[in-house]
Amino acid sequence: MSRHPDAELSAFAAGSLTNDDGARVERHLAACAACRAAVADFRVLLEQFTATAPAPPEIAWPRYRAELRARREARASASWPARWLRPLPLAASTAVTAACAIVLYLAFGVSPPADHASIEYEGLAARMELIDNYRAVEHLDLLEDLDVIRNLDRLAPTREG
Amino acid sequence: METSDEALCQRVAGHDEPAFDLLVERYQQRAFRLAWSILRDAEEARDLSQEAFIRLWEAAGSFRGRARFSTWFYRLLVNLCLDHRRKHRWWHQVFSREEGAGSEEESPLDRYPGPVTDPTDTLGRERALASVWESAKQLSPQQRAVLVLHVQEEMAMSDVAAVMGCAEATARVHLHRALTTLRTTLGKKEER
Repeated sequence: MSRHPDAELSAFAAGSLTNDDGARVERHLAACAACRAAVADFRVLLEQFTATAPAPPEIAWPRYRAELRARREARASASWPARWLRPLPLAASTAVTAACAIVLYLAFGVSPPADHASIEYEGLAARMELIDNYRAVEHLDLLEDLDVIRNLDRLAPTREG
Repeated sequence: METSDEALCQRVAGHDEPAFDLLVERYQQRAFRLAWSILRDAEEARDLSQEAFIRLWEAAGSFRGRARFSTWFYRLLVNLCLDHRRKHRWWHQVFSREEGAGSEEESPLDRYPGPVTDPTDTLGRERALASVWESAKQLSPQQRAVLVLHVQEEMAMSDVAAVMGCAEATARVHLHRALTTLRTTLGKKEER
């Protein structure tokens, strides 16, 4: 007699073996009373399981779905990308920006931007080489020596004429 | 024509709320029943079946359509249940939270069957068979899951194996061990 096909006996009883495996088990059963008894018992057990399956407790499904929705939304809002990327309400963000500007102004004396006159002086200050080379510039013809004038900053400071 | 589960799952991957709600309505009872059959605790079953739906919402994009949606979803749910049982193993051993504990139906004598029932005793045999689901509580979570999927959910062993994430032969071994344990417990000793 071949060895007992233990694991296959349950599957055979449950009717879930392929034809080849089923035929092999059937051949074994023809010669093995112990396995036949086991298969018979397994079939009874499986039938009992099917027939006497207990019903789970009653559930109020609308409430179940409401709980599920609440849990899902809570999970989504708890995830960090959602939390950080969520836009603040406009009023709140405006108020926060204004408060920060006031605090900065009071704390560090941040002054308003300079007026137009100041901007002009800054432009002149940036071209001080004209004044440094004034003696050379006064001997130049504005039209004929335009290139020289443009490159005054590259001239030696002591150069004259 | 009714939209298939697989098509709904694809829409859920794009965070389509109505598609998700429809899948929940289709699967809520099966999910709760399966979780309850494995865990035998209504609160845990409620919690974990809802968790499975949340995972569905979050991970629907990972469903590739190679298996049926039901197989994919059941696998997600069964894994949650088995992980939960593993994490709380000691708690359950010390303080059994099985439902109905202390009730007449589930007295310690019922939960830990004593001497083997004489197979020739018809009354004893019937009583033993009537408590077959009670006796299933002593099975390992894996064994119980295989039994529930195959018997209660009427899944083929190949699908059971896919849900359990194991080979079909392994699923058969789980089923065989479950039935052998129950057979022994219920008073039908093997005589070979």
